[in-house]
Amino acid sequence: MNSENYEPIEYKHNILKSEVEAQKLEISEQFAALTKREDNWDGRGSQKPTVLTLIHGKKVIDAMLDSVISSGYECDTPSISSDGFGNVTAVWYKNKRQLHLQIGEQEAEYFKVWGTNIDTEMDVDFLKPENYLTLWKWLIDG
Amino acid sequence: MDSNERVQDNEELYRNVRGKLEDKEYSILNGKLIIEYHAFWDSSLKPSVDRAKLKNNDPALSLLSKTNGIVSVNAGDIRKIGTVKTKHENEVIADHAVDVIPDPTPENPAHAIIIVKPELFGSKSKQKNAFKLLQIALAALATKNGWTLEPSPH
Repeated sequence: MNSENYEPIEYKHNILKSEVEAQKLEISEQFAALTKREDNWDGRGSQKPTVLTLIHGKKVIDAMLDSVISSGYECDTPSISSDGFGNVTAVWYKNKRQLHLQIGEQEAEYFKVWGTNIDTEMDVDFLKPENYLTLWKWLIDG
Repeated sequence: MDSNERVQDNEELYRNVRGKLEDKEYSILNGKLIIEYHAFWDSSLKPSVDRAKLKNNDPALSLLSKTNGIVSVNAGDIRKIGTVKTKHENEVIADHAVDVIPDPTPENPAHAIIIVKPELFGSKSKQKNAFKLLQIALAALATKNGWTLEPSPH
Protein backbone atom coordinates (compact mmCIF):
# COMPACT_ATOMS: atom_id res chain seq x y z
CA MET A 1 0.00 0.00 0.00
CA ASN A 2 1.12 3.50 -0.70
CA SER A 3 2.15 5.51 2.30
CA GLU A 4 2.79 8.95 0.88
CA ASN A 5 1.76 12.36 2.19
CA TYR A 6 3.09 12.36 5.71
CA GLU A 7 3.40 15.65 7.50
CA PRO A 8 6.08 16.29 10.13
CA ILE A 9 4.80 15.30 13.55
CA GLU A 10 5.10 17.17 16.83
CA TYR A 11 6.48 15.02 19.63
CA LYS A 12 4.08 15.92 22.43
CA HIS A 13 5.22 13.41 24.98
CA ASN A 14 8.10 12.71 27.24
CA ILE A 15 10.50 11.55 24.58
CA LEU A 16 13.44 13.82 23.95
CA LYS A 17 13.61 15.27 20.49
CA SER A 18 17.34 14.59 20.52
CA GLU A 19 16.65 10.88 21.08
CA VAL A 20 14.32 10.82 18.12
CA GLU A 21 16.88 12.61 15.98
CA ALA A 22 19.56 10.15 17.05
CA GLN A 23 17.27 7.31 16.09
CA LYS A 24 16.55 8.85 12.69
CA LEU A 25 20.30 9.23 12.17
CA GLU A 26 20.83 5.58 13.02
CA ILE A 27 18.16 4.63 10.52
CA SER A 28 19.75 6.83 7.86
CA GLU A 29 23.06 5.08 8.46
CA GLN A 30 21.42 1.70 7.95
CA PHE A 31 19.93 2.96 4.69
CA ALA A 32 23.30 4.32 3.61
CA ALA A 33 24.71 0.81 3.94
CA LEU A 34 21.92 -0.52 1.72
CA THR A 35 22.74 1.94 -1.06
CA LYS A 36 26.12 0.23 -1.41
CA ARG A 37 24.62 -3.17 -2.15
CA GLU A 38 24.90 -4.57 -5.65
CA ASP A 39 23.05 -7.49 -7.19
CA ASN A 40 24.23 -10.73 -5.60
CA TRP A 41 25.78 -8.72 -2.75
CA ASP A 42 25.42 -11.74 -0.48
CA GLY A 43 26.62 -14.43 -2.86
CA ARG A 44 23.13 -15.96 -2.61
CA GLY A 45 21.70 -14.17 -5.65
CA SER A 46 19.93 -11.38 -3.80
CA GLN A 47 18.81 -8.36 -5.79
CA LYS A 48 19.94 -4.91 -4.72
CA PRO A 49 17.21 -2.50 -3.61
CA THR A 50 16.37 0.12 -6.22
CA VAL A 51 16.60 3.83 -5.46
CA LEU A 52 12.80 4.03 -5.50
CA THR A 53 12.55 1.17 -3.02
CA LEU A 54 15.06 2.83 -0.72
CA ILE A 55 13.19 6.13 -0.82
CA HIS A 56 9.85 4.43 -0.17
CA GLY A 57 11.34 2.25 2.56
CA LYS A 58 12.78 5.23 4.40
CA LYS A 59 9.49 7.10 4.12
CA VAL A 60 7.45 4.19 5.51
CA ILE A 61 9.79 3.44 8.40
CA ASP A 62 10.08 7.11 9.37
CA ALA A 63 6.31 7.43 9.21
CA MET A 64 5.82 4.39 11.42
CA LEU A 65 8.25 5.71 14.01
CA ASP A 66 6.60 9.13 13.92
CA SER A 67 3.19 7.54 14.41
CA VAL A 68 4.30 5.43 17.36
CA ILE A 69 6.43 8.05 19.10
CA SER A 70 3.92 10.85 18.67
CA SER A 71 1.42 8.63 20.49
CA GLY A 72 3.71 8.49 23.51
CA TYR A 73 5.36 5.13 22.97
CA GLU A 74 9.06 4.44 22.79
CA CYS A 75 9.90 2.81 19.50
CA ASP A 76 13.13 0.85 19.22
CA THR A 77 15.27 1.39 16.18
CA PRO A 78 14.48 -1.49 13.83
CA SER A 79 17.09 -3.64 12.16
CA ILE A 80 16.92 -2.61 8.51
CA SER A 81 18.13 -4.64 5.57
CA SER A 82 17.07 -5.73 2.10
CA ASP A 83 15.78 -9.13 1.10
CA GLY A 84 16.50 -11.38 -1.83
CA PHE A 85 13.84 -9.72 -3.97
CA GLY A 86 15.31 -6.26 -3.35
CA ASN A 87 12.69 -5.11 -0.85
CA VAL A 88 13.67 -3.00 2.11
CA THR A 89 13.00 -4.90 5.33
CA ALA A 90 12.67 -3.83 8.93
CA VAL A 91 12.19 -5.96 12.00
CA TRP A 92 11.46 -5.50 15.68
CA TYR A 93 11.58 -8.24 18.31
CA LYS A 94 9.74 -8.07 21.62
CA ASN A 95 9.69 -11.15 23.84
CA LYS A 96 8.19 -13.91 21.68
CA ARG A 97 6.72 -11.54 19.09
CA GLN A 98 8.27 -10.28 15.89
CA LEU A 99 7.05 -7.59 13.55
CA HIS A 100 8.54 -7.55 10.05
CA LEU A 101 7.99 -4.96 7.36
CA GLN A 102 8.65 -5.67 3.69
CA ILE A 103 8.69 -2.55 1.54
CA GLY A 104 8.88 -2.43 -2.25
CA GLU A 105 8.83 0.46 -4.67
CA GLN A 106 5.11 1.11 -4.23
CA GLU A 107 3.72 -1.36 -1.74
CA ALA A 108 4.44 -2.63 1.73
CA GLU A 109 3.43 -5.65 3.77
CA TYR A 110 3.74 -6.61 7.40
CA PHE A 111 4.36 -10.02 8.95
CA LYS A 112 3.27 -10.65 12.53
CA VAL A 113 5.04 -13.62 14.07
CA TRP A 114 4.50 -15.21 17.50
CA GLY A 115 5.85 -18.72 16.95
CA THR A 116 7.23 -21.07 14.33
CA ASN A 117 4.01 -22.45 12.86
CA ILE A 118 3.05 -20.74 9.63
CA ASP A 119 -0.61 -21.80 9.92
CA THR A 120 -1.30 -20.68 13.45
CA GLU A 121 1.44 -18.31 14.58
CA MET A 122 2.04 -15.92 11.67
CA ASP A 123 -0.02 -13.36 9.84
CA VAL A 124 0.74 -11.31 6.72
CA ASP A 125 -1.16 -8.42 5.19
CA PHE A 126 -0.71 -5.14 3.37
CA LEU A 127 0.72 -2.35 5.50
CA LYS A 128 -1.36 0.80 5.69
CA PRO A 129 -0.58 3.95 7.68
CA GLU A 130 -3.56 3.32 9.93
CA ASN A 131 -1.96 0.00 10.96
CA TYR A 132 1.23 1.50 12.38
CA LEU A 133 0.11 2.14 15.94
CA THR A 134 -2.04 -0.99 16.12
CA LEU A 135 0.89 -3.12 15.04
CA TRP A 136 3.20 -1.52 17.59
CA LYS A 137 0.70 -2.05 20.39
CA TRP A 138 0.37 -5.69 19.34
CA LEU A 139 4.15 -6.08 19.40
CA ILE A 140 4.69 -4.67 22.87
CA ASP A 141 1.65 -6.44 24.31
CA GLY A 142 3.30 -9.85 23.97
CA MET B 1 25.56 -44.49 3.87
CA ASP B 2 23.34 -43.68 0.89
CA SER B 3 23.14 -39.96 0.28
CA ASN B 4 19.90 -40.47 -1.68
CA GLU B 5 18.05 -42.05 1.22
CA ARG B 6 15.12 -40.14 2.74
CA VAL B 7 16.02 -37.44 5.21
CA GLN B 8 14.86 -38.81 8.56
CA ASP B 9 12.94 -36.69 11.05
CA ASN B 10 15.70 -37.00 13.62
CA GLU B 11 18.42 -35.69 11.31
CA GLU B 12 20.17 -32.41 12.00
CA LEU B 13 20.76 -30.12 9.03
CA TYR B 14 23.50 -27.51 8.76
CA ARG B 15 22.97 -24.08 7.21
CA ASN B 16 25.66 -21.48 6.55
CA VAL B 17 25.10 -18.02 8.05
CA ARG B 18 27.22 -15.13 6.84
CA GLY B 19 29.51 -13.99 9.62
CA LYS B 20 29.51 -10.24 9.18
CA LEU B 21 26.90 -8.55 11.38
CA GLU B 22 26.28 -5.87 8.74
CA ASP B 23 24.98 -8.56 6.36
CA LYS B 24 22.05 -8.92 8.79
CA GLU B 25 21.87 -12.70 8.68
CA TYR B 26 22.05 -12.68 12.47
CA SER B 27 21.89 -10.09 15.20
CA ILE B 28 22.49 -9.81 18.90
CA LEU B 29 19.61 -8.24 20.82
CA ASN B 30 20.06 -7.64 24.56
CA GLY B 31 22.86 -10.20 24.49
CA LYS B 32 20.71 -12.82 22.80
CA LEU B 33 21.41 -14.33 19.39
CA ILE B 34 18.76 -13.97 16.71
CA ILE B 35 19.15 -15.73 13.39
CA GLU B 36 17.47 -13.46 10.85
CA TYR B 37 15.33 -14.88 8.08
CA HIS B 38 17.73 -13.46 5.50
CA ALA B 39 20.01 -16.38 6.41
CA PHE B 40 17.51 -18.70 4.69
CA TRP B 41 17.19 -16.79 1.42
CA ASP B 42 17.63 -18.84 -1.73
CA SER B 43 17.04 -17.47 -5.21
CA SER B 44 15.44 -20.76 -6.30
CA LEU B 45 13.22 -20.65 -3.18
CA LYS B 46 14.73 -23.96 -2.04
CA PRO B 47 17.21 -23.28 0.77
CA SER B 48 20.26 -25.53 0.79
CA VAL B 49 21.33 -27.47 3.84
CA ASP B 50 23.83 -30.19 4.59
CA ARG B 51 22.86 -33.41 6.33
CA ALA B 52 24.96 -33.50 9.48
CA LYS B 53 25.29 -37.26 9.57
CA LEU B 54 26.78 -37.21 6.08
CA LYS B 55 29.30 -34.61 7.26
CA ASN B 56 30.46 -36.80 10.14
CA ASN B 57 28.53 -34.42 12.41
CA ASP B 58 31.33 -31.93 11.87
CA PRO B 59 29.82 -28.50 11.03
CA ALA B 60 33.22 -27.17 9.98
CA LEU B 61 33.00 -29.44 6.93
CA SER B 62 29.93 -27.48 5.76
CA LEU B 63 31.51 -24.04 5.89
CA LEU B 64 31.31 -22.21 2.57
CA SER B 65 33.53 -19.42 3.90
CA LYS B 66 35.93 -19.26 6.80
CA THR B 67 34.04 -16.28 8.22
CA ASN B 68 30.61 -17.97 8.19
CA GLY B 69 28.84 -19.58 11.11
CA ILE B 70 26.74 -22.72 11.05
CA VAL B 71 23.28 -23.22 12.51
CA SER B 72 21.34 -26.44 12.79
CA VAL B 73 17.71 -27.23 12.22
CA ASN B 74 16.02 -30.56 12.79
CA ALA B 75 14.31 -32.16 9.79
CA GLY B 76 11.28 -33.19 11.82
CA ASP B 77 10.87 -29.65 13.16
CA ILE B 78 10.98 -28.32 9.60
CA ARG B 79 8.21 -30.71 8.55
CA LYS B 80 6.13 -29.46 11.48
CA ILE B 81 6.38 -25.82 10.43
CA GLY B 82 2.92 -26.00 8.91
CA THR B 83 1.79 -25.34 5.39
CA VAL B 84 2.66 -22.43 3.18
CA LYS B 85 -0.50 -21.19 1.51
CA THR B 86 -1.28 -19.72 -1.89
CA LYS B 87 -4.34 -17.48 -1.77
CA HIS B 88 -6.51 -15.96 -4.46
CA GLU B 89 -8.91 -13.23 -3.42
CA ASN B 90 -8.39 -14.23 0.22
CA GLU B 91 -9.33 -17.85 -0.47
CA VAL B 92 -6.72 -20.56 0.06
CA ILE B 93 -6.28 -22.32 -3.26
CA ALA B 94 -3.26 -24.43 -2.37
CA ASP B 95 -1.54 -25.75 0.74
CA HIS B 96 2.16 -26.34 0.30
CA ALA B 97 3.65 -28.83 2.75
CA VAL B 98 7.22 -28.21 3.82
CA ASP B 99 9.74 -31.00 3.35
CA VAL B 100 13.46 -31.71 3.19
CA ILE B 101 14.74 -33.93 0.41
CA PRO B 102 18.18 -35.22 -0.53
CA ASP B 103 19.90 -33.35 -3.35
CA PRO B 104 23.38 -34.85 -3.41
CA THR B 105 25.95 -33.51 -5.83
CA PRO B 106 29.32 -35.01 -6.77
CA GLU B 107 31.01 -32.26 -4.75
CA ASN B 108 28.67 -32.49 -1.79
CA PRO B 109 26.88 -35.82 -1.21
CA ALA B 110 25.39 -34.36 2.00
CA HIS B 111 23.50 -31.65 0.14
CA ALA B 112 19.74 -31.44 0.73
CA ILE B 113 17.12 -28.82 -0.01
CA ILE B 114 14.11 -27.49 1.84
CA ILE B 115 11.12 -27.48 -0.48
CA VAL B 116 7.39 -26.96 -0.51
CA LYS B 117 5.01 -29.40 -2.20
CA PRO B 118 3.46 -28.54 -4.59
CA GLU B 119 5.90 -25.87 -5.75
CA LEU B 120 4.89 -22.26 -5.22
CA PHE B 121 2.98 -20.72 -8.11
CA GLY B 122 1.03 -17.60 -8.93
CA SER B 123 2.27 -14.03 -8.97
CA LYS B 124 5.78 -13.15 -7.88
CA SER B 125 4.29 -11.20 -4.99
CA LYS B 126 2.37 -14.23 -3.71
CA GLN B 127 5.41 -16.48 -4.01
CA LYS B 128 7.52 -13.86 -2.29
CA ASN B 129 5.26 -13.65 0.75
CA ALA B 130 4.77 -17.40 0.98
CA PHE B 131 8.51 -18.01 0.85
CA LYS B 132 9.18 -15.29 3.42
CA LEU B 133 6.93 -17.07 5.92
CA LEU B 134 9.01 -20.19 5.38
CA GLN B 135 12.23 -18.23 5.88
CA ILE B 136 10.90 -16.68 9.09
CA ALA B 137 9.90 -20.07 10.47
CA LEU B 138 13.29 -21.61 9.62
CA ALA B 139 15.10 -18.69 11.22
CA ALA B 140 13.02 -19.05 14.37
CA LEU B 141 13.93 -22.73 14.60
CA ALA B 142 17.60 -21.91 14.11
CA THR B 143 17.42 -19.17 16.74
CA LYS B 144 16.10 -21.68 19.29
CA ASN B 145 19.13 -23.88 18.68
CA GLY B 146 21.78 -21.13 18.64
CA TRP B 147 25.13 -21.50 16.95
CA THR B 148 26.35 -24.94 16.05
CA LEU B 149 29.56 -23.26 14.95
CA GLU B 150 30.13 -19.60 15.72
CA PRO B 151 31.22 -17.32 12.89
CA SER B 152 34.67 -15.80 12.70
CA PRO B 153 33.87 -12.47 11.07
CA HIS B 154 37.41 -11.08 11.35
